[in-house]
Amino acid sequence: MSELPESKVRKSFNSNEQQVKERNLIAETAGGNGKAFEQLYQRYFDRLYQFIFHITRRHDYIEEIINDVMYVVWEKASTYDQTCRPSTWILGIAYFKALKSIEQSLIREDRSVEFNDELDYFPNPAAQWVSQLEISNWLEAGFDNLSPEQRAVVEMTYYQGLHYNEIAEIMQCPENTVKTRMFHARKILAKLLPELKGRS
Amino acid sequence: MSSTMINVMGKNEHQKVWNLLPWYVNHSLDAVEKDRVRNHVRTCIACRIELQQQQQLFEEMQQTDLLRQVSQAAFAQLRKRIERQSIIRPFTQHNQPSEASKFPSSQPLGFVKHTALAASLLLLAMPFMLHLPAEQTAVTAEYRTLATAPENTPAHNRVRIVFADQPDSKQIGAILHSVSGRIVQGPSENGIYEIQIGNRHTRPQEVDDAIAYLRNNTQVIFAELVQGLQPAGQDIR
Repeated sequence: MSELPESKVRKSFNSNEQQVKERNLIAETAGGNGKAFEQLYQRYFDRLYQFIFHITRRHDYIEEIINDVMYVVWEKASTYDQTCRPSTWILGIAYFKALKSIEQSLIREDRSVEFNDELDYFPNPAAQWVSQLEISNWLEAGFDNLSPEQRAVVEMTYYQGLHYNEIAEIMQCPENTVKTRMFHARKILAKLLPELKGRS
Repeated sequence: MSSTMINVMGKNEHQKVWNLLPWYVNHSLDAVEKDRVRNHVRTCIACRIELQQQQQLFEEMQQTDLLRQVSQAAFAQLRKRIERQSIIRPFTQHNQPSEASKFPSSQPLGFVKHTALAASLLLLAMPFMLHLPAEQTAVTAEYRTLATAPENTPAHNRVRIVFADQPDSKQIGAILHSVSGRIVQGPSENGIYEIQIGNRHTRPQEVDDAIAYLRNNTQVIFAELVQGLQPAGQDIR
C-alpha cells in the first residue's frame, strides 16, 4: 500500500521559532516600540486579510477591520499573558471583529438600498485585483454557500493551519462544535470537488 | 465480542477519523491522533479517498503574496490613527521616552530639522555677535512680536464704503466727518472707497458703531470692515 499523501504546506505559521518571535514583538509593542508593531502588522496582514475575507465575504471593509484588530493589539499588547499562542490571541480578536462587521454591514445594506445603483458607478479601484483573484479561484464560490462560522473553521484549518482545539479557543466554543461546523462545511464543499478535479 | 458490536465500534472509529482528516492534512494533529488516522486509513478506502480530496482542498487554500503591497498602504493609515490618538491621549502606559522614537522612519527627518533650526538660529545671531549696527537694523526690521498685527493684515479700523448716486466731495466729506473718517484709498472703478475710522487707537467697538451709523445713512449703500472682506494685501478694484 502506498504512503499517505504528504501536505505541501507553503507556510508554517505556527513553528516554535515564529511563536517566540511573535511573542517578543508583542512584548516590544507593549513597550511602545512602533517598529516592532509594524513588523507584527506586516507578519499578520496577509493572514488577517484572507481570514477576514473568508468570514465576511467582502473586501471593501477588510483593511478597516484589520486596522481595528491591530489597533486593539497595539492598545492591549500589555494584557497579552502568553498563555495562548500569539496567533490564537490575534485571530480571536479578528474573528469577533469580522462577525461584528457582518452584522454592521447587514444594517448598512438595509439602510442604503436606495443608494446601491449609484454606488455601482463608483467601484473601489483597489478592490479590483481581489475580484480577479476571486473569480479565478473556484473555492471562493464554495465559501458563499457556508455560514460565517463554517467559513471561519474552514479558513482557520486549511489556510491558517490551526488545530481544532485552538480554533475552539478562538471561536470560544466546544471542540465538538468546531468538528460539526467542519463536517457540514465539507459536505457543501464536496459538491465542488468535481470542478477541482477537472482543473487539476 | 459480537460482530454487531465490532461494526458499531468500527463505524464510530471511522466517523472520528473522518472528522480528523482536515487537521491531519494541515499537520496540526498530535502524534497520537496522527497514528490513529494512519492506522484507520490503511484499511478504509472511503477515508483514503476523502483524505486525497482534503489534500486538494488544503493546497487550493494556499494563497499568493499579492497582499504585501496593500499592507504597506494600510499600515500608513493605521499609523496616522495611532499618532492622532496619541495627541489626544499620550502613551503614558507605554514606557517610551518620547513620541519621536516610536516610529524610526521619522528619526532621520527629525535630526535634519533640528540641525537646520540650529543653523538658522546661529545665522540670525551672528550680526549681534559681531556688533554690526547696519546688519542689526536689517534684522530688527523683520522682527515681529505676537502682539503685532501680521504683515499685510488690514488695520482694524479700515472700512470700505460705496455711496449712492455719486455724491459730491462736500457731501462725502460731511458723511466721513460724522464718523471721524478719512479716505485712504479710492474711489475704484466700481466706486468703492476705503476709509480709516479715527486712528490706530480707535477701539473696535467705535469702528462698529461708525459702520452702523454709515449704514443708516441713505447715501451709503455699503459699509463693511476690510478685514472680513478679502485676503490681506489686496487692493480694491
